Amino acid sequence: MIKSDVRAGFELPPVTHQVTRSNIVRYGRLVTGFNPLHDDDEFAQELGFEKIVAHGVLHLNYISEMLCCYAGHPNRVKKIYIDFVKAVYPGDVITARGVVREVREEGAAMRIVIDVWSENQDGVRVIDKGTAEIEAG
Amino acid sequence: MKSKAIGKEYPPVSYEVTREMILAYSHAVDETSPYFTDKEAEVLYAPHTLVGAYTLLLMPYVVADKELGLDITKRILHVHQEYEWKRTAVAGDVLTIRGRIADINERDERKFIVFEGDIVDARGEQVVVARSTLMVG
Repeated sequence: MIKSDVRAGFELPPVTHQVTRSNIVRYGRLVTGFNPLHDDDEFAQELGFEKIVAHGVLHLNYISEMLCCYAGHPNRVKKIYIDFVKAVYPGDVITARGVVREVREEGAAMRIVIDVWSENQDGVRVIDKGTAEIEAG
Repeated sequence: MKSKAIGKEYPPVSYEVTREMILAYSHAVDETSPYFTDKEAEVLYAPHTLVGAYTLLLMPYVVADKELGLDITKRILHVHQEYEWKRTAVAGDVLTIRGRIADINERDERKFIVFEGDIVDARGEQVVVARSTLMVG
């Protein structure tokens, strides 16, 4: 982490990935799937969605990836609180973003509080009202 | 009326975080950092959301919980997520999830269930706390 990057208003380098159907299938195989919303197009459509919906935590990882890159080490990422506000579909291109809200000194360390969110290819937020905290030495 | 299920604890579930699990997870979420993808690394870290995602290992208990009465044929959406990390899990960790229902409330004929997972390592030390809010209906 570069010192000049640790200040309120600093925009973290964003992280962008396309969520493919293959990502969703692979993710669903790893974690005990119980919700057909993630693998059954017909079921998803009956509930009013266009097609299967990506697991929220799958693309939430784009936010933790962004935070970890900024922090410089996995153990410095301390907290993420977020709302999932919109469905992510196969093919969507999701960008995780963050802006430093506050830098606090806590003893010898620093606590960096960051506003985080994600948006799709149309600029519509899919994760919103996020707060993250990382520690810097 | 407050549900009797609030505060209910589920039987603890333990699992080992393996290298294969981490690499497969990193692949599914397109993680790019070598901390999470370097097969040769002495210490291979788990992507931050992995440990939270595996709290889904508790789902068989949750689905079978008659007092909770979660109807999985209905619309169930993950609407909020919180993580607080003490450290990042690594390959070789044996983790235990202590899961409980932290809260249930109803708004606009929708039910919001908050699950809390306290995830500890083999020494009993906390690794992460994960809180997931599901909206039913």
